Amino acid sequence: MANLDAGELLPFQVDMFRALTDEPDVALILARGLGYQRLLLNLLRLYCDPRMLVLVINAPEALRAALVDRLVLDGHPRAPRVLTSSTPNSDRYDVYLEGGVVFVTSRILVVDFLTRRVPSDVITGIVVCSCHTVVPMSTEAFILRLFRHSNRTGFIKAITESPEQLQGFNALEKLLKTTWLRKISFWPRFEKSLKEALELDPPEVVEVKVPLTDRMANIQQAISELMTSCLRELKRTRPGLDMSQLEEERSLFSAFDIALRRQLDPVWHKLGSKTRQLVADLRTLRSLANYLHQYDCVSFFHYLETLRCSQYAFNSHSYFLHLDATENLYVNAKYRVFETPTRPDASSAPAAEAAPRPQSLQPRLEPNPKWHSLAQLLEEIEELIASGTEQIIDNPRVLICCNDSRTCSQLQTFLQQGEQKTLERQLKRFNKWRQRIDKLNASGTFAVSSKQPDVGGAEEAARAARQQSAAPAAPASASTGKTRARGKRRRIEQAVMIAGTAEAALRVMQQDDNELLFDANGPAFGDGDGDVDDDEEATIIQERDPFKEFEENFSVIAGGFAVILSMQSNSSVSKYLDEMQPQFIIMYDPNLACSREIEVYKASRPGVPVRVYFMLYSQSLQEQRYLSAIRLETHAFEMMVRAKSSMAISEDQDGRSGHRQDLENQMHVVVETSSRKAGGQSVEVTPEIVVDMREFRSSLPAVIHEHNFKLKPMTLLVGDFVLSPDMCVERKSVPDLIQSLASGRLYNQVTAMSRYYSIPILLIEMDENRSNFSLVSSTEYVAGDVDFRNTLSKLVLLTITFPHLRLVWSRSAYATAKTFRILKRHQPQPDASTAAEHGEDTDAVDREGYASGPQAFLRMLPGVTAKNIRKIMEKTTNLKELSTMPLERMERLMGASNGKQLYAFFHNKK
Amino acid sequence: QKVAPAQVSSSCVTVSPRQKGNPLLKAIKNVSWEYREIAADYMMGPSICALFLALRYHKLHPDYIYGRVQALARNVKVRVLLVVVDVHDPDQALSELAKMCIVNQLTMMVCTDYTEAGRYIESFKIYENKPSDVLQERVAEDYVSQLTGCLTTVKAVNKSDVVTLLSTFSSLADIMAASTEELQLCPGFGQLKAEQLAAVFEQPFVDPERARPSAFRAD
Repeated sequence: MANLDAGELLPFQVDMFRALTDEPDVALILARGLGYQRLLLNLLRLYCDPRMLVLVINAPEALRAALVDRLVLDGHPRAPRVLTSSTPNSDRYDVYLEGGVVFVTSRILVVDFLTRRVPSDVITGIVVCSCHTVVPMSTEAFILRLFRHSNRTGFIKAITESPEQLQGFNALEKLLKTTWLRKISFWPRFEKSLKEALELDPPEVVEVKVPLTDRMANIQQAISELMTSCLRELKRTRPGLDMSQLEEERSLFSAFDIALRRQLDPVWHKLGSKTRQLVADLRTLRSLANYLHQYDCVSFFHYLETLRCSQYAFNSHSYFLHLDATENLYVNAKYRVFETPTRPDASSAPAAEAAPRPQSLQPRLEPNPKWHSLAQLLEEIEELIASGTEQIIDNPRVLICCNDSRTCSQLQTFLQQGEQKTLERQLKRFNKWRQRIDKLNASGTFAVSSKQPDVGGAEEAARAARQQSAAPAAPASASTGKTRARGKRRRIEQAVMIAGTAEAALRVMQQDDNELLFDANGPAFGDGDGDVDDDEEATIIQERDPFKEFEENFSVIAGGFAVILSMQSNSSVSKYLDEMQPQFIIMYDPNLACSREIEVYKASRPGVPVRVYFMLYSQSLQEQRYLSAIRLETHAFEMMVRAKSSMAISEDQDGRSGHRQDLENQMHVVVETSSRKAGGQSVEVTPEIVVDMREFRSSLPAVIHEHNFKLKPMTLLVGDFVLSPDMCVERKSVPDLIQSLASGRLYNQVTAMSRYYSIPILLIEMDENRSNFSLVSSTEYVAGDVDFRNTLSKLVLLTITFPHLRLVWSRSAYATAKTFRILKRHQPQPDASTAAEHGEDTDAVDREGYASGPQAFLRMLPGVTAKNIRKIMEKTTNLKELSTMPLERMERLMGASNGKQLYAFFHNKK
Repeated sequence: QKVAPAQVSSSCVTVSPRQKGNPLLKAIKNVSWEYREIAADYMMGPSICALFLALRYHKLHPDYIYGRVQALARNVKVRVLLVVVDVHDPDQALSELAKMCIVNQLTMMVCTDYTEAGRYIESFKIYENKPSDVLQERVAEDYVSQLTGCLTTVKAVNKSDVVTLLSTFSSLADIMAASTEELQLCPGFGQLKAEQLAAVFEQPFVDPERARPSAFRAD
C-alpha cells in the first residue's frame, strides 16, 4: 500500500502533478475533493530549499496551517515561513532573502513589492491558491502584475478546486489574463483517466434513503413555496434583473446571494426596503431549508421563534411572514415538538377545533429520522464485524461524516444518551429561552412585540411544556421497536470518549488498538443477542488538548471504534481517512467533496474493502442540493472546456517576452509640457502618491498604480491618499460614508485633514458599475421631509461646517485614478515622511495597529468616545476583560459619566 | 447688477430668474423661495450660494460654467456647484469639474435627478445655521438598538442573532463570558459565527508583538 501518510500521489494525481510542474506557468482547475491539498503539498515540497524563493499567496488560514504543519514534519532543509501583518517590517526582508517557501498575506506582499522589501529578481515563483478568487483589480492580481513587471523568469502556478465559481461572462479568459497565464489544465471528475482510476475498484456504496416525516415534508414544501414566491416577488419589483444566474435551483446555494448582490449592489442604497427584505428573506429561507435537515425538531422550532421575535423586535416585516405557507411552516414545526391538539374527527371532542386548550399541548418530540437509521447502521456494522467474514479487515473502524459541528455534537449526544435525552435537553433550553422572551416582551424591551399575532400558538405551548417538563415525553413516533438495539446502544453510550483535537483522537485510537483487538477476539462485538456484559471493560477516556484548534470538529465514540467528523473544516477529511483507515464510512450528510475524497481513499488502497453508507433524505431539498452541486460542477467544466477551445490567448499574455509590460506601461504614460523646458518640450513625469497602508485592502491602489502613478505606502494618521503637499484625500465608499457620518468619525477626520493640508478632499466612491450618484433611497423620497437622519442631510451640514472641504465624486476606481491624474497636474510631489508625521493627537487610532474587529465593536459601545477609546485599548487586554471590570475602574479609565454609562450597558439585566 | 447679500431674504431661498423652468424648482417643497436678480443661481442664505449645472448642457457648452464661476462673488462662505448627472458617461466631465472646483474653491455636490437636486437646495437652506456638534456625536438610542449596533459590527451576526443572544443570555457581559460551545448552542449559530463572535471578544486590542505607540510607552 502506498504510504499515504506521507501524502503520496495516486497515478492520476501524478498526472495532475506533472501538468502542474511540466510547465513553469500553468493554471490547474480540478474537481472538488480530488486531492487539491495533496497536490499543493507535493508541489511545495519541491521548493523547501534555501536556494529558491517561492511565495504562496491567497491560501486560506486552515489550508496554510495544514500545509505548514505537514512541511515542518517532513524536516526539509528549509522550513516554510509565514508572513502576516504581525511580522515587523524589518524582519520580512531577511525572511525573503533566506529563501524557501514563504506563505504571505496579499496585503503585506503588495506593500513589500512597492517598497522593494521583497527582492523580486530572486523570486523563483509564485503559487496562487484558490485562484478562482483572483479577479481583475483584486490585490492578488496587483501582486502578479508587480511580479511580472519586475521578474520575467519566475513561474506562476495557479490552482483551484472550485470550478463552479468560474462561471459568467469570460470568467476563464479574465482569470488567465489576471494571472499572466496561457496554459490551463482541467481535471474534471468525468476525465477518462480519472474515471478509470476511480471506478476500477470503487468502494461499496450502500444508499440509505431516509424518508422525511410528514411534518418535515410539509415544512419543506412550505419553504419551497416561500422561496418561489419570494423569487417571483423579487422579479416583479426588479424587472430588470438578469435571472439566468438566479434560477430556483441555485437559490439553495450561497453563491446565489453573491450573484444576486452583484446585480443589486450598484443600486443597493437606492433599493426600497421591500427589495432588501426580499434578498434577506431568501437567505433566511435557505438557512431554514438547511436547518430543517441538520437541526433537531426543538432547535428548529426555537430558531423559527427567534426569527419571529426579531421580526417584531426590529419592526421589519418580511414579505413571507404573512403568506399562507408561513402559517404551514410554523404549525408543522410546532407540532413536531408538541402534541397535535385533538382533532374534531376524534371520537369525543367536537368543540376543540377552533381553540385547542393550552393544557392539551404536551411535548411530543419528533426525533430526526436519520438518527434511527444511523443507530441501525452502527448495529449492522457491529454484527458484520462480529460475523467474522473475510471481508472484515483487522481493527475495522467506522467514520461518520456530517456537515457541521452542531450535527456532530448532536449525534454524539444521541449515541451517548439516546434520542429522548437529546431532545429533552433542547426542550429545556427552549423553555428557558421562552420564559426570558416572555419577560423581555412584558418589560417592553422589544416594544412592538405586544402586537405579535400568535401564529404558532407558541406561548401557550411553552406554558404547557413548562408544566409538563418533568413528565416523561411520549414515545417517539418512529421508534425502532427493537429491544436488541437497546443493549447495543448502551454499549456505545458507555464507551464514549471525547477528544480535544484531531491528534488527541488519533492518539486515543492508537492507545485503544490493543483493546479493540482483544475485543474483536472476545465477545464484545461478537454476540447479536444484546449481551452487554463487556460494557464495563470499555474505556472511557476524557482528554482535553490545550490546542483548541480542532475542538468540536469531531468526537470519538465507542472506544475509538467510531469517529464522528465534522466536514466544516473541509481540508482535513482525507487526513482523517488516511490516518484512521476506516473500513466503514457513514456519510450522514451528503457532501460532494467528502464523497470524492472517499473515492480517492479507496483508489489508494486497492483490494482493501471499504463500505460507504450514503445517507440521504429522499425527495428532500438536501438531496436536490447534492445533485445540483454535481450538476453545476459538471456544467462549469463543460463550459470552460468549450470556452478554452474558442479562446484567443495573445502570445505575450505570460509577459515573458516583456511585450505585455511595455504595452501596459505605455497605456497611461503622462506627458506633461513643462514651461521650464525650452519650447514647451514634452517630458514624462511619473506622478507620486503617498498611500495609507490600510488602503491596500481596496482595489484603488492597484488601479492607480496601473495608471502609472508611483505609490509610496506609508502608515498615515491623516487621510488615505496624499497627492501633493497641499492635497490630502479621505476616501469613502457609500456604506463607509453613511457609517462615518453617523458615528461622527468623518467630522474628526476632516478636522484633522484641515489642520495639516490646505486642500482637504473627500472622495465619495460609488461602487463599481454604480450608475448613479444618489444618496437618497426611494423610500426617503416618499417620506418627503428633510430629515437629519438622512445621509444627504449630514453631508450638507458637513460641507457647511467645512467650506474649504472639496468633494470629489467617482463611479469607479478607474474614474478616481483619472481624477487624481487631473488633480495632480502641475502639482509638486508629496513627501512621504512628512505625510506620515502629520497628526499625532487625532482620532486615527485605527491606523496604529489596533485590532480592527474588537475596535469596531468598542467604538459602538455607549460611553466610548474618540477621546477615550485609545486609552481603553491600551489599558485593557480585550473586550472580555473590559466587560468584567468593576465600576470604579471603569470610571477611572474613561471618566465618571462615560464609565457609568458603559458599566450599565454591560450589566443591563433585561 | 449684483445684488448685495443684505438684500437676500433670510427666510427663503432666493432663486435667480435664469433658473425659470428648471424642474428642480418643482421639487422644492419644504422651504419657500422667490426670484431675485443674483449672481449665483440660488442663495440659501447670506453665506451659501449655489450654481446649477446639468451635465448634458455642460457637454454642449463646456465654457458656460467657467464664466459663471468667474462672475460669482468670492466673499460668500459656502459656494456650491450642484451637478445633475443626466448623461451616461459623466466620468471625464466630473474629473474636470472636480479640478475646477478645487481651483475655484467650490463645493461640488453630485446627484442623479432633479428631485434630489431640489433636496440638496432645501437641505442647505434648512441646515444653514445648524450647529455642527450634531455631526460629532452619535444619536442617542435605546438599549436594543445600541446592542444591535455593536453586535452587528461582527460580520456574521445579524439582527435575529442579536435577539437570540439577548434572550439566551441576560446581559452583554454574560454574552461575552459565554464560551464558543455555549454560543454554538443558540439556534442559528454555526461554528463559524460562534467562533467569529468569540474571537472579537477575546482578541487583544493591541497585538502583543507590536510596539506600543510612543504616547503610551511610558506607562
